[in-house]
Amino acid sequence: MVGTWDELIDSDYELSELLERVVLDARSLKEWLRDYLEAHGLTKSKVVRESRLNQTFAYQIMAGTRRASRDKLIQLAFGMHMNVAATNDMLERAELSALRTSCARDIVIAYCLHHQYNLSTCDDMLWRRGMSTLEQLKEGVGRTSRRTFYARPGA
Amino acid sequence: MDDERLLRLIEHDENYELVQKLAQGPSGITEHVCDVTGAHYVRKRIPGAIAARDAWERLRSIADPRIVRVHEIYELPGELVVVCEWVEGQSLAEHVEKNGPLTQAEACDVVRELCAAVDVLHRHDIVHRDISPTNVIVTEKGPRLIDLGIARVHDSEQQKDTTTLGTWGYAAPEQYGFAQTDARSDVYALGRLLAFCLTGLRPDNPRFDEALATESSVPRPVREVIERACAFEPSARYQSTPELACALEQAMRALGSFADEGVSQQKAASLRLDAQQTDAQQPTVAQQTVTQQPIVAQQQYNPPSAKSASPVNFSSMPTLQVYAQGVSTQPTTWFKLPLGWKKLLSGLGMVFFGFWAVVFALMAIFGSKNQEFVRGVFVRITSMFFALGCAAVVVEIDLFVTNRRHYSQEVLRGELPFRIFLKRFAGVLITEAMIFLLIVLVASATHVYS
Repeated sequence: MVGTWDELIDSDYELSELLERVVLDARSLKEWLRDYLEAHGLTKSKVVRESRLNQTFAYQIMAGTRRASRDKLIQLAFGMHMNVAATNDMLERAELSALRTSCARDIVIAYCLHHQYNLSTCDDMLWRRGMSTLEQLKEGVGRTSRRTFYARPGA
Repeated sequence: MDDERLLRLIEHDENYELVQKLAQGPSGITEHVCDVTGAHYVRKRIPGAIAARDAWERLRSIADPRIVRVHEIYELPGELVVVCEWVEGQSLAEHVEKNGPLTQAEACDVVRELCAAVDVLHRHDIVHRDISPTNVIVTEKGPRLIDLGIARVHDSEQQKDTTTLGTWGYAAPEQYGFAQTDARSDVYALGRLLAFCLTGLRPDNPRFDEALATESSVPRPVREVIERACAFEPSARYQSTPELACALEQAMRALGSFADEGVSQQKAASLRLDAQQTDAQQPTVAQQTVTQQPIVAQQQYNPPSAKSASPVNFSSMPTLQVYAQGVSTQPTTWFKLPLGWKKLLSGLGMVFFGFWAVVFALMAIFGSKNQEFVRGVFVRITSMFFALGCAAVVVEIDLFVTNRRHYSQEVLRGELPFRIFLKRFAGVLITEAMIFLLIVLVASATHVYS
């Protein structure tokens, strides 16, 4: 039995019976990522490349030896072509807040995840709306030249 | 490491297909993998903090049939990955568990072969540090030593290892962190392994000591070899694995087990009969590395030259200064008394010193009113107490020198002998001095002095 909080609370089961019926999943982030890669036939090298994270950092996130910020994990989600539910699961396992329906930035990110857009497209959408991008580029380095021609839109 | 090279290494690492995870612990993860050609290997992922790349590079150059071959080594972020040869067969632990203890000849043969294998490591300045029955594979060609995950290159300038790892029951006492490991640490492990082979019991078994003392299981000459190999003090052990092998062979000759020199091929073959050919698709857990209770000690050790029979000079090791003469024998005791009597006398000495201080103070306070009494009683009583206390101090020194276990807790914590000595006495002396001063102060305050 896997359910939402509302379903669990509204159920008529006693607590002990509820605990027996619920399918528990206590996998760590590292274990969960490993299983996800295996289930979807993904390779670490491909994920590292497409997430555009620092290779060493990305490898260490998947190895469980480094903790990542929320935006970095969302970058990883784009590299692993996750949907919204999987991304939220990953964020919660990393003890970070899931994508919220009440946050405009999260809605843009979720929209892009749902439509399987890549990271660049998502960042462009965020930029156009005056929101901070996921990939933080250094000044004068990388793909800033394209963005310098974008006038920051008004509020 | 540049990004492209790292990506290539990650891709190369992913080319190995995981067959089975064999073990996971503080020393890393051990996996059974196979490459794209179907060849089977053991892949070890060793945390970068404890990995010794230099030791593994040396191991890769070793081509001894008794030691597992290192196929390749590469680094990934935070870990060193070592791919080793996959050795099929049962571990010695499984073999003994299944078939019971080995015969004396079989056990001797196994340990002699392992002594030769470990000696090869020592010649390359490598200390294995994790010799245990689970890390010895029984094959048709004889025992093979595997799992060099915590092996280290000995460094003469290091005083102690920086991390501790090993298998409880087989790791030498110095692996707990108070000194460097060296060839003698491997000698210790081989002695324990020999005891396991003969008794069929692990060191943590409550019946292990009893079985070791049983003449039918472990004859006295062999038991003496084991006891010396497993001596607490490294300088009291055999100083090298060839020395251990030689002593073992002499012990077996004394028992009449060897009709002629050298190992009987028939006796050696008897051990290899039970080596099983396992299906490549259904590997056994022979490669499993079991670290029962990981210990934290990373010791670097300079093993003595394998060709040299002379003991290594350990004068640079403060905890072993008592035995720095290089004589691998127990120090001679000054008093041939049981240990309990020595401890009793030592304790009484502390009490006598206390009596002496109190009586001295009282006599100093009240004796001024009766000089005759002072001269008569004071001198006799205090002199007697003082003399008894000094004698007890001598006993304590003898106890410290001859029975390291009396101070084992302090020694294991890495404290210097002189500091241990001072701590034992300083506390008592300071307490007595404070009592003395208190009495004097009270007497002065109440104007007892005339």
